[in-house]
Amino acid sequence: MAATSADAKKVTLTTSDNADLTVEREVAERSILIKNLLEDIGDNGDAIPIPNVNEAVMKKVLEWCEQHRKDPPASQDDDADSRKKSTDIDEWDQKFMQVDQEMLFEIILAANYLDIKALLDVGCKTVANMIKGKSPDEIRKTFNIQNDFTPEEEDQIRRENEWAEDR
Amino acid sequence: MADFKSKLKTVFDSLRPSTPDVIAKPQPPTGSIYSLHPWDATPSIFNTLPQELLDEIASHLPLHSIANLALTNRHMLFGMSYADPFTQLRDPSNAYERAEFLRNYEEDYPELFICHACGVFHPRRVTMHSVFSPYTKMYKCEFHDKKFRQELFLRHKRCSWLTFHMVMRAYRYTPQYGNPYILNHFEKEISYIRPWSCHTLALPSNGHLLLRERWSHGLHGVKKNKLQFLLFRRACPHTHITGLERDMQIDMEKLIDQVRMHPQKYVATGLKSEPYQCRECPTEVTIDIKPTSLFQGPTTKTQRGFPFVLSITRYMDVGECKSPHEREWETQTVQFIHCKIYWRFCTQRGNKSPPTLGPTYREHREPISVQFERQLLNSSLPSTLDMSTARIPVQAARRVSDSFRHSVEDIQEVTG
Repeated sequence: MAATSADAKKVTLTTSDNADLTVEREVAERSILIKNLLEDIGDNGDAIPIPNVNEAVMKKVLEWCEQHRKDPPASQDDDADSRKKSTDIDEWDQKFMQVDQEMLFEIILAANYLDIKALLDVGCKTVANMIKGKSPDEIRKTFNIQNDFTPEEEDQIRRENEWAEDR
Repeated sequence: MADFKSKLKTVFDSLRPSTPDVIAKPQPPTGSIYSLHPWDATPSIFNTLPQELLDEIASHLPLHSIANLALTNRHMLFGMSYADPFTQLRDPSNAYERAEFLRNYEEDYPELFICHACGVFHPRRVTMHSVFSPYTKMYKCEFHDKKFRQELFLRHKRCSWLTFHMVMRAYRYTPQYGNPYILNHFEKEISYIRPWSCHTLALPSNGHLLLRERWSHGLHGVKKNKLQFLLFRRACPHTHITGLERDMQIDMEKLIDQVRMHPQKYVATGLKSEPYQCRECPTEVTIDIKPTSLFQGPTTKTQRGFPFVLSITRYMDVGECKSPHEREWETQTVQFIHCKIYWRFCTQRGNKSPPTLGPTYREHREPISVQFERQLLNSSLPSTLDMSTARIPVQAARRVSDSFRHSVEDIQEVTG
């Protein structure tokens, strides 16, 4: 357990591997989950357990929260617009997301768990950009996915799509 | 009558729904491919994501990419079943997306091409019957021409996207898929700007199709008032915005004056301008003045009578030529409007200015002219031209078009 420091605006988060990370409350409150927790239980100095996120991932998430601490909260209309433009990622966010695939998916899961909509959006857009314009084979190579369709099933899929091969 | 009633009863009984389940299970869309079991799927990184996140990723993808993702393995086939791409692709309004999806099968059909307007394969060639004998010609889809009206002005002719697509298909797969030489052409003394001749070449480089269009003329015969009809105005849709047109004209006149005043100084090397790069699209223009003996490429008899050859070369990167909505294609092309006598090109689309590639496009990219010339020296064109010459019968050799003959000469000169 770690208490808030002398500065009352700090909170401590305990990750799944029992690491304590102390951050400013404003930064931590980019997560709606943590914000709601702090509002419900009050800031009594106890560390907040984050059982689904490990230290390495949490540090990355907090790095993002630190960078975007002043961003205005996203509205519903913003969501609808951003869905249409998957290539529209900030330069800083693009660099931030240049991590290995395992970490990328961990960040997406953590953003989903911590309810950080903007980070989740950036993560999903990054994955979508990796998929866009690729054939099934190229997607398999990119994400190291094994093709588990049998030849018969592939033929079946092929036949399903022959309707479009109009001559 | 009783027989008829009993038959009718059995028909109605068969139509009546059976006893429903207590809790209705969500059923995937009908279709045999959905009967596969997702739990048989081999583990992949996507298995770590819950369904809601797969849906979130799918929401950022176009329909054809969702279908392609669904076909990677069983898990994804089920993961994408909520987005239901295969049913949506059948919708006539999704013709473009369907065409993009059909690109997966393009390699299987050398004699067909995908029409992005209709969303189906069309035959590449059709047989026509003339009075004397049947002949084949390129199939033209009227819907495609109406829907995708952007064209590139090349060699004073309007070229549609399909022309470039066919060239790139031939380079991407084999010459059975298209004609790789259709853009390679030499035209001497073009009628409305008679002293000038034009040579075009198309080459693939890093999956993109690069074009070189070179206008040339003997230096002492150049009339200044003819210059405006040349490349400067039509180099790209942005010349009037970026001010390149005026810069190039002024610079060219300076170069001409320099060589005219001191011809002896430039007899050995010639004179070359820096490449003019459009900052909004992948187009480059260079201006060269070379001694006629050093000029590489086809020339006319008139040109060879002059000590120097002036050439204006436009290099373009028209992209991968896989779909007519590629950024490179859209930024370099224009729509043409027929004005009773001639076709006028229109850089403005409605009230919008021509699209641009954005400032980051050129970062870390080699100049197109450098890429093209290296590719011309290194690789494929000589070999592909050899392949073509092998197909031409000896008796027909004399009837080989000017374009092809000069292309070969060009290569022979370059390779020395």
